[in-house]
Amino acid sequence: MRIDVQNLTHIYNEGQTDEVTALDDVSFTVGEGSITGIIGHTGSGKSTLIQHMNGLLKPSSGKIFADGTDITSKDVSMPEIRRKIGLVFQYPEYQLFEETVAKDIAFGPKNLGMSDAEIEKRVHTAMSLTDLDYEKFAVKSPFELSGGQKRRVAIAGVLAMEPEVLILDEPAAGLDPASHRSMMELVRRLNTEHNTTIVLVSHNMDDVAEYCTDVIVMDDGKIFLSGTPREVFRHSSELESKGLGLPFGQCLIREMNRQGADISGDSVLSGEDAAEAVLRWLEEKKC
Amino acid sequence: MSSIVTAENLKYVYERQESPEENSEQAEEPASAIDGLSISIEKGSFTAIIGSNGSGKSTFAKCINALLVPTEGRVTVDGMDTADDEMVWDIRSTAGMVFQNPDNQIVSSIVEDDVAFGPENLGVPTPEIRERIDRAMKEVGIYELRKRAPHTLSGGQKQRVAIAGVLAMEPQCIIFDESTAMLDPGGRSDVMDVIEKLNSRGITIILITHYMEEAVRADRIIIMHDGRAVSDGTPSEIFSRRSIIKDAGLELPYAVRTADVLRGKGVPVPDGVITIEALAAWLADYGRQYDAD
Repeated sequence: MRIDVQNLTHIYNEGQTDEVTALDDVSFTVGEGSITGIIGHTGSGKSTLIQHMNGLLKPSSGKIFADGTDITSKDVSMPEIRRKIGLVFQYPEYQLFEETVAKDIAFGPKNLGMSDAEIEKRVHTAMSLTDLDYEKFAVKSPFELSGGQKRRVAIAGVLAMEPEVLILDEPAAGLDPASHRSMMELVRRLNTEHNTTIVLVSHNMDDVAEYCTDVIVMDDGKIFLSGTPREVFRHSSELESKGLGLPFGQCLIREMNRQGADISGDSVLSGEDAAEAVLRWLEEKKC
Repeated sequence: MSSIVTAENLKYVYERQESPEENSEQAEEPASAIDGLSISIEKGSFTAIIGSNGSGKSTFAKCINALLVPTEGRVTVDGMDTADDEMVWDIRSTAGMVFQNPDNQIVSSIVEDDVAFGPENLGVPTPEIRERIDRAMKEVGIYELRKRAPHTLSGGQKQRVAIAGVLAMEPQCIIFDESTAMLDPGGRSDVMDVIEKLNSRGITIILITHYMEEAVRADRIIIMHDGRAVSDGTPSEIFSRRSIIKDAGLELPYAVRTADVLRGKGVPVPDGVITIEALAAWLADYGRQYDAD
C-alpha cells in the first residue's frame, strides 16, 4: 500500500495561548513495499505524524491518502483503515493485558468479528512470523515472558490484523544487542517476504542506514531532508547540527578527517563501507 | 584503592507476581535473578555492566540502591550493609540511581523543585539546598531551564534533571540503569558527556547499558549472564573475548568490527583499538607513512 501525505498540518490546542504547531505543511510519499525511516530529535513531530497515518489524530489541515483513499475524510471507515495500517507504539509490551499470549494476539481479529477458525489461523501465522513457538507460548501468560518476547507478542497482535502497512515506533529500543538484531530482521522479513510496507521511527541511525530504503528527517514539525539513506546521510553536518547522529561509518570518516586524514567518503554508511573507503584512500596514497 | 560497592555471594530470587513492570529485565526470571555474584567496585572508577535482557543487571542495580534486599549474601555501599533498614537513606544518598524512563522519576512541576526533592527529604538546611541545587543544575547544563515545567523538556534534558536531583544529594556513586535507552542521539551524547564529567571529578559511575559504544568509554566492563558475572576486565580485554561476547547475547562495538574487516584486508590495526576515536587516530596516523613519498 502506498501512502501520500499532503500538506499535513497539526496544531495542538489551536486558538489557545499554548497552541503548538506540531506539524507544519508536511508532504511526502511512503512508497508501496518500502521501508521508510522517520528520524528526528524528541519533539520534532514524528509521533504526531505517525498517529495521523492510521487515523488516531485528525489534521488541522491537509490530507492523507492510502492507495488513493482519503483517510482524513469523515466518510472513511476507521476500523477498515486501522486494519490495513497497523501501528505499534513504543514499548508496546506495556499494553498486553490478556490472560494468555494467544488471547492477546487474537484480540484484534476477534473485535473484527472473524470466525474462530480464521482467528486461530491468524494467531498461528502471527506467532510463527514473530518466532514465537505456538506450543510453547500460546497458553502462557504474557507477563511470564522476557521483555523481548513480550514485545514480539505485542507486534504479533498487530500482525494478526494482516495490515498492508506496519508503522513501528522504536521497535528495538531497550532490547539487548541479540534481540535488537532479531527484531530488525523481523521487520525486514515482513517487508521482503510478505510485502508489508514499513514505516520505521527510530533514533538508531545504524538501523536506519542498514534497513531503510527511504528516510525522512523531521525537524520542528517540518520535513528537513528526505531521500535514500545515502542521499540523506551525506548531509552529515546539517544532521549533526539538528542533534541527530550519523551511522557509524560516516562518524568514522568524519573523525578521521578531524584527525587530518583528508579521506573522502560522503556516501559511507556502515563500518564495512568505511573500511572500503579507507582501503581506497590508502591505495591512492600509495600511488 | 578502596571499594565503594561490594557484593559477596549475592543471590536474589524474585517472588512470583512481584516482578516490577517498569523494567523489562525481570519478567522471565522464575529462578534466581542473581545467582552468586561477588564483585567489588573501586571508589572513583567507571564500570559498565553489560548483558542480555534478563541477565540480572538491573536487579543488581536495585540491590546496590537497597530497593531490593539480598535473598542470600551481602551488598555493602561505603561499608553500609543494604540489609540494614536504618541505613537505607544513607545508602541512597551515597549511591544514587538514574533510571531508564525520565518520565517515571520526575515528581515536581518545576525543574528546580524536582532537583531539590532529594536534599529536602534528607533534611538539608534551606540555604544549603539552594546552593546544592544551583551547583548541580549548572554541572549538568540545565540551570537555564530551572523554572521550566519538566514535561516541556526533551528526554535528554529530563534525564539531566534526574541526574541533577541525584547530584544534589552529593553522592559518591551514581548508578545509571539504561538511562540513555529512550533518548535521541543528541540526548544520549549529552548524558554520556555528563557521566564522563562526573567521573572525572571523582564520582564512581556504574553504567548499565545495551550500547557497546557506551560501554567502551568505561575503564572496566563486567559481563553478566544468567545472574552471574561471566567476564570482568578492561574494555579492550573484554572485547577481545569474542566467544564470551557472543554467548552472552552481546555484540562487538562497531569500531572493533570495522577493525576486524580492515585486518582481514591487511591493514595491521592493533588489537587494543576499540573506540571510534582510537580507530580514526590510528588510521589517520597509518596513512601518514605514505605522505612522505
